[in-house]
Amino acid sequence: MGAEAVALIERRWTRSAAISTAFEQLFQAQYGRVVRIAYRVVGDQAEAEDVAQDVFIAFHRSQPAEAPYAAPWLHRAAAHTALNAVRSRSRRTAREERDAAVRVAVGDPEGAALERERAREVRAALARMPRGAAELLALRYSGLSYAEVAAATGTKIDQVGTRLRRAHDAFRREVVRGQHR
Amino acid sequence: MDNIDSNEKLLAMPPLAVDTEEGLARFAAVVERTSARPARRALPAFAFARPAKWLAAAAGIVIVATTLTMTGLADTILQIFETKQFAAVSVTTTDLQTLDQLTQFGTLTWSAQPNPRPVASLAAATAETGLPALSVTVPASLTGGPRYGVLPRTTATFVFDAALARTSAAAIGRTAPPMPAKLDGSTLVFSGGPAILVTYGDVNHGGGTLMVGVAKAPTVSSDGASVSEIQAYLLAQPSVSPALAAQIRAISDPSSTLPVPIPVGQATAKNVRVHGVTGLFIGDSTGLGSGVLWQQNGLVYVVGGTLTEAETIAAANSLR
Repeated sequence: MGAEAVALIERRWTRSAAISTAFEQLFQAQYGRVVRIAYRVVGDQAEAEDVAQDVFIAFHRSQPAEAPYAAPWLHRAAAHTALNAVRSRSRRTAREERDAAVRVAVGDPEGAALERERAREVRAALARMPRGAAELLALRYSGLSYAEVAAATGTKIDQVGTRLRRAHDAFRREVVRGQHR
Repeated sequence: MDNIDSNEKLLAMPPLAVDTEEGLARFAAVVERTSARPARRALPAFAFARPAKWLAAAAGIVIVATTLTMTGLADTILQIFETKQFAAVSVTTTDLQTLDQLTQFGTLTWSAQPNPRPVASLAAATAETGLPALSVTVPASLTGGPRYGVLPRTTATFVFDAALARTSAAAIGRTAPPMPAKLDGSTLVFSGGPAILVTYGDVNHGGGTLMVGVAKAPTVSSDGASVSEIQAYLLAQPSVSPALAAQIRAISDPSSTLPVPIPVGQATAKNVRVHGVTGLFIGDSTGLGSGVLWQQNGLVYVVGGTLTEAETIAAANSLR
């Protein structure tokens, strides 16, 4: 048995000792979606992965992995936690500045600066607008279906379209407001 | 609508490549570090409790490697492969990738993904699988365990698909050798399990490990095309290295020899005697881990872990 195989089995063993089969299956199925929801809000993959870890830790500590509401719980929590992160900003400042410096140094400085400005505008608008509306946009634009958005937000599916349109209006108002600051 | 269009442009983000395995490893490490679980679980976890994806991939590689060897089977409608012994096949990283990609010559469908799970006792494991109880002398240096797991019987069906093979080859800018018409649509059925795995040791605190497993010997059934045609076709693929093809052709009893891929530079293999039969010993290049496989009375046994060669052989011979 090669060292890599032993190491792999040990990692699996360690992991399986820490978390249940049902939980790992849930993680495998939902981690990507949770990261994408958070990414839509925070605009940075590493930060989105931090948020996803927080979300899964919170779920693991408080909810059974087999819960039928697990997926919508995670989706909603991803949007909520990501918005908290953007609003507080404290946890991201150092890395953002470091990453920005690297991007400017190695790539297209002008393009990077514009992209960073766009991402900042989006985050700022999401942070200022009503939380429910911001969560709705984050969920929808991370690829969730209307049915999944409805489940995550506790909304009737036939109301999702209307709420999304209102959320778009609120987002636009905040973007415009931000541009005039 | 204007708002929605312009908002969508703002909200659009570059595609994201998410590494779930890395995320899971990080999560598990945090849970371990923060002791977010009870210190002791009523049902200890099992080494193979969660590797469905990894095990399925490994099993898929072995299945395809087995397919490559079945040249000795006659041209009849139904033939059965049964694992009676093992042969080490040295493979490079490229070979392993190729073997994985061979499933692009057809469709591999699992009756159920290999999904091992922990059970509370050896009695529960034997009752569930119908396999004999395992008893082994554990090196005194190992503390922790035993823990028990079972793998239910699993089958996989592989159907050759000429159109898929052409598409797969075209996708990487290659032209695949034409698949014989008789092969197109023919089916292989692979069966594995049930199995029991017993684990000793305490990997969570850096200790050594011993794993002891028993499984019903894996079998392969084939319908339609002759397996010599299957072998000829697969070994003719430009992605199969001549060295790998030569090793597979050299297996003298391909209808009962399960090839075991041994990564070059990472592990070595040799034949050893265990319980009066020939087994395959595999050691890693650092001497930190080893294992031995053998077949007896229709059952495949495996003993291995973070053990020296002498410890592994001694543990294997102590198995009752």
